[in-house]
Amino acid sequence: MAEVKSGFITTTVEVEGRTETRVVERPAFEPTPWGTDAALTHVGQSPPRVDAPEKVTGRARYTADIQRPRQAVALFLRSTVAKGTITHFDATAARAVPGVLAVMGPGDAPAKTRLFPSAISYAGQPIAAVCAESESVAWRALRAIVVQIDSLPFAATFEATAAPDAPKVRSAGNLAEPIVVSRGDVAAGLAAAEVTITREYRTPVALHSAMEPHGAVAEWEGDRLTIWESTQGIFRTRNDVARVLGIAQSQVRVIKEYMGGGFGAKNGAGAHTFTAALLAKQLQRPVRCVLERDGEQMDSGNRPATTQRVTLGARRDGTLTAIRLDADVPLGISGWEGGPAQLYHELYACANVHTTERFAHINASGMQAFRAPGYAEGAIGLEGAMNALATTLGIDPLELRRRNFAERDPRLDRAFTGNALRQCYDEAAERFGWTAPRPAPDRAHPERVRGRGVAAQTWPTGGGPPAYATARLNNDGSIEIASGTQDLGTGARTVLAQIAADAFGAALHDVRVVLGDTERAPYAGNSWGSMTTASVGPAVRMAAEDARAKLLDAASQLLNVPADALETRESRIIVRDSDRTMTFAEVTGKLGNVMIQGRGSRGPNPSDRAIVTVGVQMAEVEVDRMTGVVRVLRIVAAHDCGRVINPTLARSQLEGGILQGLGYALFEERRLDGATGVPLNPSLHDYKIPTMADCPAIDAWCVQNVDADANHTGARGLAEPPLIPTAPAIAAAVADALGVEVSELPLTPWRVLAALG
Amino acid sequence: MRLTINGRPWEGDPAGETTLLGLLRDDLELTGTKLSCDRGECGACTVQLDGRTVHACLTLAHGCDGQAVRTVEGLAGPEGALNDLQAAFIAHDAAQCGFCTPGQLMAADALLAANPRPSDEEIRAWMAGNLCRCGTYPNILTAIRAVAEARSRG
Amino acid sequence: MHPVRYHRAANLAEALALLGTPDARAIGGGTDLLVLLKEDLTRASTLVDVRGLALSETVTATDDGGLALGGALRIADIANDAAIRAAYPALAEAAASVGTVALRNMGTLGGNLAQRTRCWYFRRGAPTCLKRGGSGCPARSGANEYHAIVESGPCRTVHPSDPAVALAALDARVELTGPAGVRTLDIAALFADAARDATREAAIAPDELITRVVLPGARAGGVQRYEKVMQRGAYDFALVSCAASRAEDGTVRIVLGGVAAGPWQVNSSVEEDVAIGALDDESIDALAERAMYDVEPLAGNAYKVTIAQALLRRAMRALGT
Repeated sequence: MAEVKSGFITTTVEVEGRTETRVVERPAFEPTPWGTDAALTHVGQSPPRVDAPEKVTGRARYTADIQRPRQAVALFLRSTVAKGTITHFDATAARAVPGVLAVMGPGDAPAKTRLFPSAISYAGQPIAAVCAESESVAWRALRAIVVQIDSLPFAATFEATAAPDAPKVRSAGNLAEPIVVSRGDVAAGLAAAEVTITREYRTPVALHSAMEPHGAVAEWEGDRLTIWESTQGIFRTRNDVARVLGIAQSQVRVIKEYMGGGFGAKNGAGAHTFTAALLAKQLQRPVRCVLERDGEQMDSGNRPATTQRVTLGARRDGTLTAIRLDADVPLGISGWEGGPAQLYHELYACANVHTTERFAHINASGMQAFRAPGYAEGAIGLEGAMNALATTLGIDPLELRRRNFAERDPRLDRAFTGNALRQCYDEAAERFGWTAPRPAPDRAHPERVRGRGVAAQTWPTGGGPPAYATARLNNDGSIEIASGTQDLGTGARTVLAQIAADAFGAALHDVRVVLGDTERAPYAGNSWGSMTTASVGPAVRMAAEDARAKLLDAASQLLNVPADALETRESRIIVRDSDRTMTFAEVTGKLGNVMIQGRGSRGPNPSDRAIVTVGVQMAEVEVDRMTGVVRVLRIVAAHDCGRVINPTLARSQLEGGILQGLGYALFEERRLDGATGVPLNPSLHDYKIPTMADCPAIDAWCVQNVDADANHTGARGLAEPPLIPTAPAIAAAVADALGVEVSELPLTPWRVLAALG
Repeated sequence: MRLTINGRPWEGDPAGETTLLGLLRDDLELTGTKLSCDRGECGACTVQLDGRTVHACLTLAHGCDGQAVRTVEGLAGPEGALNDLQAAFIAHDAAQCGFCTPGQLMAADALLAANPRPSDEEIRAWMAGNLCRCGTYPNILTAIRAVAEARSRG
Repeated sequence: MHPVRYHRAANLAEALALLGTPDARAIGGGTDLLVLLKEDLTRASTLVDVRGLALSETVTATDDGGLALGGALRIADIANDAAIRAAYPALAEAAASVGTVALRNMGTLGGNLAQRTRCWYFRRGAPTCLKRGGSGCPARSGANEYHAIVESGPCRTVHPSDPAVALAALDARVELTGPAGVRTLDIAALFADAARDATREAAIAPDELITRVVLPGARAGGVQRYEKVMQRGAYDFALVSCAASRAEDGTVRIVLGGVAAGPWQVNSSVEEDVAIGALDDESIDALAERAMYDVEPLAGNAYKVTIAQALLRRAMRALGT
């Protein structure tokens, strides 16, 4: 490891496709990058998830499992009207229900919390909270509240909100500033094209639908607040709460033990957090506020709908001359402009790209990042158009993608730290049998037709600073690694333990990873943007190596050899080329109460390089032409995420993304009633996510590729990429099967039959 | 009313509207069984009642009088030795966030009791009542297959 | 849920007496009733558990070679019963397609017939819905992909029960026992007012119980079929379903689910032409089209006509052999 001058520098980090500028600390030293031939024992293997025993025994505690002494329960009353004003609110009867402890309604919460305004902006918006001794009492009391809402005209579609006489959705205006991004000269590119195709695609509103609803437990001890919350961002939640409640961050502790899925929806404090905190303060009792399922489906954010008008221009040989996108994105009442366009700028080599995204606000619940926000939608448009282009040109769609492979990041003209997309294409084609002859049609069932489709993806996965980790070597040789990051079921606890074990030269079972507690661990960012492994892994490695160096220093004195003559392996210190060894425990035991500590932080990313995870997926489907029902038979997926820390856990992420992509392709759409703007399907039956009966054969892997230029662990992120190409590959396979495209998702029987005429 | 819960007798008189799920989680602090939809639409609250799977959220406690309830807490043996299904779920990475896992295990356990050598299609059809948003289905399928095979080898 | 008193009735007389008290409701598996109570869609102060009453969970042979099914038989037990599978496979298949393993373990035959509509306007509380205190049907001009293509009354609901469709194709008779005694209805009569009645779809009085469903010997065996088209591979109500039976005497019944307020039997002239047999593809196509002649799809559900015709063609082919 090389000593580097420390200090603060300004650098950029890509988060969910957005580039953010940050001031970060340059770490005290940079570990030598683990290259392709790094001698690693645990990294690259698949030890079982360290917290799996907790999950299979029911011992794992999620937010709703926490039972603090004298804990009370809060539930929300929600608007059944899309837009209006509360003109009457009477909680007298509710307060009189035995067991009710408090009611918080319009005007009761501090303005900064934005809780319970009188102005209603979407159906499902919380109007009030009831806190009671039990959930059943709170449920009854909710129904005793008398509310009058004078409804106002609303706009719940892009067309409605963009119309000249549209009702006012937000005071600042219904339409946000369009985002226009351009490179080259699209008009010239289209003029030079020998073939152009134009398509319009529509994608639905999709809901994260985590099995565990949002929730928080809040408890005050004097002026100190502890919050147990299912969150992807303990520090962000802490900071939100401190800022909004006007208290010091050091007064707030946020703990996330286990959480039942996030997928982007659980990225900061929400109404449930502030409600629990305020009621807990008022009552001087712990308060749990967990969303009921309909509230979860109505009010936890969503992937917004898009309409994408795509034009591609190409030469006869398939090389792209122009890409143009015009997209409408109704964001809901709130949300950031994570639209479909960025993928169009990043996936293919094309000199001329022009995208316009129009964002609008509607009277519906707000957008929140949902696993690969923008890119999952954009892939439907871009990859759909590419497949249509392939059909028009008579070129194999995989070959079309090969011909437009981008050697450098085309958006900012940067070199990649690594990009094995072509290797993904080759391996996937081989495993899928992409060029194998089609199976003969089933004579007994001529109405069943099969098809195959392909789609590619890219997604920024460099991670980045700041992220910190500490290592503690106890005097019995056991090791604790702490970092304020989160394991959402993503496997961070395990992956970080593997990295630490290799960095130390320790046995895996001697390493315990502590996450998810702002009090016990130093800062790490949200677990979003596929950032955790790539951001925290290097910090953990550095902390472990920092501690190891001190351990070797101590050992060298005990063994009377120079420190550089020592190696570590499976919690032993070995004098190189000899049979002299000591265990970690023997060394630390001799040190008495000295606690060896290491500190690690994530350094900046290489400047001016694109750090991405890329991949391709192929789908085979069977469609019943008489009923319009689509069955996905198999998915083959090959992705390049750099070094794979734990292949089994990586494959689980791939399969999980693929299954969400399958739901997006076939079943999932949030429906609003046109007449009232009220959600029609806020349930886990009517909003249909895939069951095991819908699960196809999945063959998914990461290609062998270590990316030591991305960061010194060689690993990039993987959480979001596998969701991006699945739905487009399925849509392409359906088009292949039917001979006609279905341009609106999800591919329900009515849409398929309509496309067949 | 009386129940046997994971082999232990229990007696009480919960309110008439108390569901089995509420009894387990709130009154008995057996929080392994999860509340996710509360409407019988997801399977997260799957427990076994006299050996048959039910949605605890839609089962009245009093309606189970005299019956035997088995939850995820009852799968492990004495001193917490994991049973073969639990071990297989670990070995085959069949739990990501873990929230659906208790329900999946109770359903899988009931499947293998009813049908010791299920085909893949039978596994899929049976387990379709347990939703997983993290997408662990392929690994759950592998785990169940592995247990069925190991048990048949004796 | 609001507080309720729970009573396990010891016998039918006690059950009926309790059901006669104000705000008393019968509960079987609870898979719909408890949802309705949790959604505050119905009120009850007393729940009368009607499982375990004498003969309520049995399958009994009848004098005419048929079977009598107890009203509290679990859907799973109907699906797995050897006698039902042998004589009335369409019913067994329909039962096997209900929900999930757990829902089938819990739900009773009576409860399955009595369950309320899944229409999202009803369930989510659209004020104009006639079953929520209004007088109209918001689905007509709204989101109606899951609604009826047949006009049976002001409401465009479909009934979600799979077994009901098979029972209709098997000429089942539903015995309802109340304070005044036993009355018997066929499936069509049971759901005759489903599109009109504001408080229920099945014509079961609040103080009545489905005690038995009787399957006639005349429709045992023969050729039977149940096909259910869903979006997902499982855990879904039917978009469209079709139950068909050709009895030993050659008569044919073809019933569609998911198209009307109750199970919808195709016109008898179509059934008679199928019964004649020796159908070629052209005749089958013509019959399927004729069967759909009077349907009036809404803006979003014309696709159900296509699916229904496909199911009808498949059923006719199966019955023709």
